[in-house]
Amino acid sequence: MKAIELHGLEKRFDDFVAVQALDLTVEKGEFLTLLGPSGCGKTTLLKLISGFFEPTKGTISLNGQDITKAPPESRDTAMCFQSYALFPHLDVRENLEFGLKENRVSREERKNRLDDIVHHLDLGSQLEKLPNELSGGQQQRVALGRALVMRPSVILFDEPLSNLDAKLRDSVRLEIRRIQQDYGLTAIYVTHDQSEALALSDRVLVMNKGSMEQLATPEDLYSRPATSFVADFIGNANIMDAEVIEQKDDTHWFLETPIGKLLVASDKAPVASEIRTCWRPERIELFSPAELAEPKDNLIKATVRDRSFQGGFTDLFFEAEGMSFRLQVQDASIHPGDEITFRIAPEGIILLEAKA
Amino acid sequence: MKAKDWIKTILLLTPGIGLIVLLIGTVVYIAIAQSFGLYNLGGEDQLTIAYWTKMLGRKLYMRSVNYSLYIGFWSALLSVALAYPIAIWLRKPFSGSIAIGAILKAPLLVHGLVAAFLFVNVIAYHGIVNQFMQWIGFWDAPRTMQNDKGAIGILVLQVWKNMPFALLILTGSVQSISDDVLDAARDLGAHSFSRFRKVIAPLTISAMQAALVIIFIGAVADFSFQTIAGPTNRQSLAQLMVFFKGNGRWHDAAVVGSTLMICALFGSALLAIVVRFIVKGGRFK
Repeated sequence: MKAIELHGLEKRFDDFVAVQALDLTVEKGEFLTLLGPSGCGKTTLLKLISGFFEPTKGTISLNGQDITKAPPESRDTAMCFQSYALFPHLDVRENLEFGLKENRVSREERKNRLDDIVHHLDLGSQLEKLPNELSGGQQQRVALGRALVMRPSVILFDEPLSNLDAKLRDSVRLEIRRIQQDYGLTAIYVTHDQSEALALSDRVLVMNKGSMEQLATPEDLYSRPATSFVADFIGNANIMDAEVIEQKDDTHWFLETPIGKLLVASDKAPVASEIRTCWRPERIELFSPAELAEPKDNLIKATVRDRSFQGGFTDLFFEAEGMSFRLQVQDASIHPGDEITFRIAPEGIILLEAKA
Repeated sequence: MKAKDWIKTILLLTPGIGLIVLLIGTVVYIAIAQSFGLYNLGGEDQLTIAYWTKMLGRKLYMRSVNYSLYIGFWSALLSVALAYPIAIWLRKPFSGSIAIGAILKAPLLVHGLVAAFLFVNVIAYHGIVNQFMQWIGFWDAPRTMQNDKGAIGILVLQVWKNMPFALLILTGSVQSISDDVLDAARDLGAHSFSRFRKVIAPLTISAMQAALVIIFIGAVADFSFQTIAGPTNRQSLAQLMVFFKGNGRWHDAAVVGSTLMICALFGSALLAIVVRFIVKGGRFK
């Protein structure tokens, strides 16, 4: 069932188009993340859904009802703010009960919901404290609880972890996902952190300059980015221009690239004769001289220019035709100046958009 | 803090605060002492409560106390009540908001006495309002609005003069509330008045108290507005004090002056406490 439907949604601020011609459907119980760089329109889109902004064009439906013109206080959504937005003059209990009282929920029901959320978020010992007496993580949990206690159809997160330190971010991230699944909530989550998006979401909507760049599962987004923008934004990618020089069969093509002639396996045909293509730095195989006796396709020889040890892996950098490429290998013994040979599997090369 | 630190702090504060305390303290002391028969300018000093006893038994005095408190409380409450929606409206800048803010604050630059004369021109028997109402055919004959018995004219003048001051204090305070906090209240279902009552008012309570107290103290001791536009059937405490002083009755004037200080002190404290109590939903935390 559809929880949210957006049709032809557009938001303009004078001449600036923050969101343009956006169509999107979010299923009930789905965790959708809006991902993109600063200024791409993701928070504007969230504010359009929550009602803080009115769209210039298009419609928004919640559970099949048109809510385009409804004010935020009348929408069955709840928002978790980046700054937590806790009421500083109210203690934790009053913060949690604020929305329930505003919506005239009965005293008994209020108590039940409060007990449930306090138990779920382990806030029992914090109820009498004011927000400024809580740590960042605790404040985040109260903000989450205040939204969850409303039992909204859709919960909206506006970069809720950006003020937490890295370690706490990981644990709160898992907690958010667990609670969303426990309550079967539909969640829309805004972030510019791609690892957060990949770890949390059922689907990720990548936005760029107010438009949808790609909407896909985290796995598809990483393995099959639709554009060089997505490939570059999600994880590390070696993006290069290529010329399609020959079609081998229905699913294989030969490309001329800055690192040599490469065979590509893809279930979709190249969109033009001159295109952009990419490959992930970790999706390669290193070959020792002994293994090179057997001929293979897509073998590339390179001289290591730079090396960056990362603990679990090592980044190696080489240059070809003035471009820098990155490899991620487990072998920490390779150093600048070493000659290496590696292979990119035809399935590891991704065809992107036509060359501009 | 150690004794040495206390001494150092007091010595550093003495040239500033000490001078203020000395000057105010001297005036307060003389007024109180004079109300008990000391500092007699026309004869022998005699410590007595006779002036207080006599004054407390006079209807004129009690009416002045009630009237001054009435003007003080209503001026403070109405000025703040009017300033709040404007402060909230001007919270976020929009085109022309700076100009509107500046115009609204203009009465701060007009002296009270001048304002009262301007106001009299508006409400006088042959003033602007009467002429206008007759011209549009609403009224057949001019009406008496100046020196009205209910002191509505005085309240209008007080609010006109003091609202900009309340606005000045409240605007900064309202602007310091983050957008997210107000959006969160809205997102949780709070409508406009609820947002004001449960979020804006409690978060700006200190500014509200400051505005109420300062306006109350000024209005309770009003002299210039009362003299020009006030009702003729009663006098404000300041007016009564000047009346006694003008007749050479310094001890009676000192009693009224001391009463004025007591009213200002306890009235403003009461106002501040009651407002905090109401806004905080029946608690002082």
